[in-house]
Amino acid sequence: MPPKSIASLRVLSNLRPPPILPSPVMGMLIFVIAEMMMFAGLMSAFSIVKAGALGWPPPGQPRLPVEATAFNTAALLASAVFLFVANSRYARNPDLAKRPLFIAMGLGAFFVAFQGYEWISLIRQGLTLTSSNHGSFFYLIVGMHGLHAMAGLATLGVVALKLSRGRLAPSSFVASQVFWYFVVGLWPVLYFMVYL
Amino acid sequence: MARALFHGVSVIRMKFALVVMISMAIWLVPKLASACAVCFTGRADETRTAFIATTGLLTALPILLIGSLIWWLRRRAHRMRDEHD
Repeated sequence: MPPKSIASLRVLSNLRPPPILPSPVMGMLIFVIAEMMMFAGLMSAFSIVKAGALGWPPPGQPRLPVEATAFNTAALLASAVFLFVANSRYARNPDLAKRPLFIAMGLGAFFVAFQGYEWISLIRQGLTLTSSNHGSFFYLIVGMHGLHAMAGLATLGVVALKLSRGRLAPSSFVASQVFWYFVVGLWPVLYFMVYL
Repeated sequence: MARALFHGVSVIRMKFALVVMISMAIWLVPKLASACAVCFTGRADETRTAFIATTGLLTALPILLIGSLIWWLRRRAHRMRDEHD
């Protein structure tokens, strides 16, 4: 016999087992897998062109700032650590998660700003999108990662806003973390391939 | 009008010209193919290694990623079922 009252529907819905994974987290995981494949394609093309070149970087092209970017990489990795701390604090008391979350966002913003500063100096030195294959791949791969970092920061911004208003769903927080960990975890691979 | 353009042209010559054009295309295409974007420096070994490595990566990565996700979801589902029971 079908249930007729809202109360009986509520009872039935409570009997349903919880989902294996919340929808926002599942959706984000699938999106991250798709993004990983996109970056794998870019890195493959870069590897083939680099292997075929007689010298890398090509003669006449500026060298990339390896040491400064290593420092920037450390800042990005630290942002992931602070986000992890924010998550563990959120489970105990959501208010305690605010400070590490803002620090993580600040470090992420520093990374993006530093990348922008680096780009300006490289463009001044003559490394542009059309100057060589080196420039094309550098701006394409690093720029694509920078776009993802900005999207991740925007997502964390929304999370911070909801957290301060006390309306943050745990699944949304986890989904934004998945994306940020992807952005952070991908960067050392790109740094190793493009800069070293 | 279009029919009039072909008036007087020998059909046999047209067929001959067609055969010559196709033959030339077959003859020239391999030369064009050998002038691909990755054969420009003569570093064939390095390029071949990069091709093999990236082919392996692009073949294995989606299987690995999706397989890992399915494996992890199954494991999580089993654990949740055990806790529920």
